[in-house]
Amino acid sequence: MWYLCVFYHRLLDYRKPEVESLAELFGVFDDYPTDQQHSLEWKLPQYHHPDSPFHFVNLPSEDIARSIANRSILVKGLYELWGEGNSYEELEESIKGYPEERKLPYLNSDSTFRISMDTFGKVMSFTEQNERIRGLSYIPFKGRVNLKNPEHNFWIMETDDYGSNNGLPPVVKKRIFFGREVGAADRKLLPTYELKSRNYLGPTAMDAEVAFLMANQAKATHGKLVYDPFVGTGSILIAAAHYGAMTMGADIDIRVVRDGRGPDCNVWSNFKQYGLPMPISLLRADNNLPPWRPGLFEMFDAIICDPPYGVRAGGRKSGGRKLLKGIVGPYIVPEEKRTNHIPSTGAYSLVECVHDLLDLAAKMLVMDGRLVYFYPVVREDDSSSPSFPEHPCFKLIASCEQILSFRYSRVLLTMVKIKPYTEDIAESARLKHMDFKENHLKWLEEGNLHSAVFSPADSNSSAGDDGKCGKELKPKYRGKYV
Amino acid sequence: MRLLTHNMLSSTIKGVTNGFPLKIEPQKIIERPVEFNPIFLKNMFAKLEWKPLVEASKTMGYFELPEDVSDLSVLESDEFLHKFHHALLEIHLEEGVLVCPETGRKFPVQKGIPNMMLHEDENNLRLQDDVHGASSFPKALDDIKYSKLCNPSGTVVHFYMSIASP
Repeated sequence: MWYLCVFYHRLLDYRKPEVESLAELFGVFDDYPTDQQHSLEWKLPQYHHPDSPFHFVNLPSEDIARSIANRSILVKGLYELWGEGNSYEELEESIKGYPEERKLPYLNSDSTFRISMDTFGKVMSFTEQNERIRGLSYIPFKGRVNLKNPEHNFWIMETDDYGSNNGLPPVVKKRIFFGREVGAADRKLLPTYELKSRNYLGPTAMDAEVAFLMANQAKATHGKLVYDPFVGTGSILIAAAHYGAMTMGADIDIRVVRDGRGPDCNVWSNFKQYGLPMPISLLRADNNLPPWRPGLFEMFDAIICDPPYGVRAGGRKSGGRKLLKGIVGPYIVPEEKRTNHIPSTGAYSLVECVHDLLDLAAKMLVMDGRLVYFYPVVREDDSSSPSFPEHPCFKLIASCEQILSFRYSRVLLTMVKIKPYTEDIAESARLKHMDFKENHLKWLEEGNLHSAVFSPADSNSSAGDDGKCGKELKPKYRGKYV
Repeated sequence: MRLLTHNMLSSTIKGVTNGFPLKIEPQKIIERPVEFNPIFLKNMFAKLEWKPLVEASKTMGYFELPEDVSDLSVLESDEFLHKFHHALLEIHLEEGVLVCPETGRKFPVQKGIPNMMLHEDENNLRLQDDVHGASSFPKALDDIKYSKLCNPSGTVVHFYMSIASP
């Protein structure tokens, strides 16, 4: 059945993939052959731009629609559409034409209901809202009104021919929808988990909303094991734990995972703060040299992480600067100093880091398991679509861009494991690992994002076109910024 | 550190061929109740090495796990699952060390966090140290299929090698 799906007008790229991931989690695609692309059917209302918050989605049942809406972060609501039109006259006609047997069960005398008004792209006074709600008197509501806790919620939603002041291309005609709410997102979650009230924070702690989106992309749920190889203060795992998943994390910095800022301000205390089960384990390990036993495969149901891309925080791996350059051999640590010795670390290029992450995920994820991680992209003037890392074991199913600055954005990649890890793949990964070691410096320079993001703007590139900066020619389309 | 983690870790020191299981030398053991989840337990059971788990639980002072689990019907027994649950998830090594079975190198566990980082002279940092590498390089370029690994500015900086399967 088709439902009207209304989104919050933010993180536009993330909206549909979230619904699709949740649909998969709630079993919509269970009967589909596994080798096919799983996706839902979507439609747009007439004249609407793909970035519009109004969409139609085909879902097998109301129960599934409710489950998806209740767990999602970006779905404002899923509605059974009773009518729509470009004017209130058209709306009335449309509602009257909707089958009686679909309407009557929700209108009977022993039920309670509420009608609310929502607008997109315009503000409406209370009087105007009331007028429109009263205008629905042609619908035979028999139940009692209950504004606090009604059984049935009805919504009138109105978009306006608002011009271009909300960042979207103008809609040609205004559209009015009337529907019964099937489910809505629980955004109360976000103030509960917001970073400003969290005890232990690091410089790159993941924002709660995005962390929940990542957990949804990873299909984190009860009984699943989720791993974060760059755990830091645990901000991503907290979202996974909220959905009942077992969590595990590693970090190369022992101060972050072991000590935190004291006995009541560390990764454990962050989980305790929200009454969540503690991670199964936190360990100090190098993603470049993972400590897993040789026979260990297909352990995790999902890996979610925000790898260090060297812009706000750089990655580290084992080996000092001179050691990695090959100027000096490994030092022999004197016996009496071994216990508290802190091994040196060197810079870890993003390319190598992603290589290690893909190899780890290919080996340690169960079949059909998901790897969800952020990947930075330098924003170029031409809008050619960027290319993302590929791996023979994985299929990329979603890429959601979030613009961070004029120069770069980050893209949340969701990859699904479609092929088992083989010896051939392990061998080529090992050779690549050796190449990274041997050509440490080369990789560090080629993969350096910091300079691309922070270096002064190149004045030569825009001088050519009569002093007009090439960037000003770009249409002022703000869709992706919301 | 719980015994589930112990069952996954090994020593990766250069030259060590079998760094699993790490021997536990406990100094402080604590128990914390964890919600019982039979689905998760059955899921994990298939992936674990059973004998090392039994041995590890003994070192931690828990002797209730059966040695022999070749008969998979144990997974239907609630009593077994509760014992398994307790050993796997509720016993924590808060302070202690994990000892590499081959070299005797001690990996400290402090505040429940195992420190698996190797010292400079223990890991395979330089190519020359790797004796197995050279012989297994693929001979002909035809054997190699490429998939790409690109840097963030979108240009492909290198190809990720994968050897074509015959």
